[in-house]
Amino acid sequence: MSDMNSGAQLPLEACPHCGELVPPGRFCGNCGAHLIADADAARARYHAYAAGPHEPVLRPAIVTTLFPHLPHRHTHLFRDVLAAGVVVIALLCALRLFTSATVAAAVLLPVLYLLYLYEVEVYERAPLLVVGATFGVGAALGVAYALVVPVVVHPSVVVTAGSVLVSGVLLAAVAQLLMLVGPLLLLRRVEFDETLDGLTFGVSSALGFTMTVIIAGYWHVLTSPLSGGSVVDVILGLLQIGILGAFVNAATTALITSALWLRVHGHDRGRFHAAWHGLGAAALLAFVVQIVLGVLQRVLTIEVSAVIAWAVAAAVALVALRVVVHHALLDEGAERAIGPDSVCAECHHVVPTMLFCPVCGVARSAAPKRMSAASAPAATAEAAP
Amino acid sequence: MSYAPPPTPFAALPYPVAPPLRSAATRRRLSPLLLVLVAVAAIAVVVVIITVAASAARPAAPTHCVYACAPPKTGQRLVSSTSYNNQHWGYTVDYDSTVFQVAQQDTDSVTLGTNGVTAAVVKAMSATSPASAVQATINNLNTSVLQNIQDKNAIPGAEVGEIPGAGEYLTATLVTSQGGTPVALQVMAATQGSMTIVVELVDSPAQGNTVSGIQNTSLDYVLSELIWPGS
Ligand SMILES: [Zn+2]
Ligand SMILES: [Zn+2]
Repeated sequence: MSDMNSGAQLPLEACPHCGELVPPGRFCGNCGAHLIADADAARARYHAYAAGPHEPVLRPAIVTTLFPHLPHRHTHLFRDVLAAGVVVIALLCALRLFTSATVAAAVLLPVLYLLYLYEVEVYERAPLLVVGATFGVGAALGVAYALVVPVVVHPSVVVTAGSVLVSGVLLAAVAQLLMLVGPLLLLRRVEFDETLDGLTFGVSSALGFTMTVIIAGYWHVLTSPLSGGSVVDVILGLLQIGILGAFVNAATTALITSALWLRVHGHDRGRFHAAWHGLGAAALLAFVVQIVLGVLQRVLTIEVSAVIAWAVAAAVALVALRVVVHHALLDEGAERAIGPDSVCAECHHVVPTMLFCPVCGVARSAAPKRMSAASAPAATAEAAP
Repeated sequence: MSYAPPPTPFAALPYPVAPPLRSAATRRRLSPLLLVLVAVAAIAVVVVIITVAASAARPAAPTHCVYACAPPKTGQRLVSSTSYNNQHWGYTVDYDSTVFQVAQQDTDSVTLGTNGVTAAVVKAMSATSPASAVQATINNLNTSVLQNIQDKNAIPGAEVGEIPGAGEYLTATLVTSQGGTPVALQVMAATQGSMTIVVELVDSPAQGNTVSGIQNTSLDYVLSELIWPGS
């Protein structure tokens, strides 16, 4: 036990959920249970997502799910930039600048994600390794995939059952496997052993892959002397492939990598073991979502229905990812430890460093990493008036 | 559970709030303005570079051309002409066997291919309006092979085997093992007596990159020399 600083001087209270003596607070610093919620809801606290406790777990939120290290007060900026980007893409379409609109749709999320990785400094010790192995490998495999697909797809101009099977089922599964390659390169590295590392690598790889699949896969469209078509259809198509498709790919890939990281690195305390949010279920759901969309891609001819299908799939995958990550964060951590005081990046209270912030309940592993180390001395100084 | 939840009201928690902007927790690596500027600049640079590259890779713009500038009908039968006769409906399709092969056939239709790629589909059905037959065919195009399908315009004076009907001119990108190629699609239908024939022509990738009008005289031949039953 490392009760070493002011945290140890607080009157400790017994947590009714894990039984440990923990500093007073709304949440247990050890197990994350919500101490002032009623007992049924407290332990798994589905009303307070472990990486962003101001939101319930079962909400298909994009930024708090895919950008988990971002503190609450910074999320709105990324959300605003994302929304503004979508508006700009629609404007480019309206001006019939279809090539620019397609490229913008392809790079919007990847650029935001790379900025996020820089902003939260989570991987500042090895940025090239992390970005290269995940985003870089994903992007390279995306180009390869886009070049190979036309060889595999049977060039018949009418839809057949065979073409749905190959291009819908087979290619969708292959794409999902390729998006996992980059993260797997980092699986055995001990310095990246947290569930949120797995999530981040999965998202980063999927966004790199999706970006180059769009640009390389549509290259012949971008370079064709075509100008016509309905502007609305083009906007909907870019929304479906570039934005919603990126959300789906990021969420399904992170779903598998998050569950895989928890399984392989074995940091769970066994408190929330259940098959329905384990690795098998996560992988099954990810592939099912991808394959269903792969088949729908061949069958749906009306663009609006495709957008709706992709939006539903993105919501399902995001919520599933949150369920897996929420349980993983509540489970993660080896022993009860009450560390020195530090500022919680989420709520800005000066609290003992534990697995969870006693005030807002955020998993401290979801903080930008500098918080846990760099801010401790400054915080202690400020806390003493 | 024998413990009562600790009744700790929020205000009574013994944790001070860090002064804003002084702690590491509130400091941002990128200010909001800088973050937006970097995002906009990065996206703009990539968009401009790729757009310029795509424009440079575009084939020289063809002289603008609509359906009317397709080659004139060939006046005589080709030397290497081969006939496909549909037993069920009785129509006959003449085609240049040095260019096309029968890729697929069933009771109603025949598909002519060139180098493994569909070039023409001729399909007979019970009489219906040519326009609805055209639309049904367009709705059934394989969007994984034909990307970016764009309905350009109706074909004025569309004919199938010299029977007037309806037609639609579309452009698309045909995705094959050789990559994507812009193609022109013509879907035409005509009705005579109790049957409607739909002809779907895909200008083959070997015919070059232009997308305006069917360039391939062999395809034009298939369409214009189609023989209706009893004629
Ligand atoms: Zn506890
Ligand atoms: Zn907090």
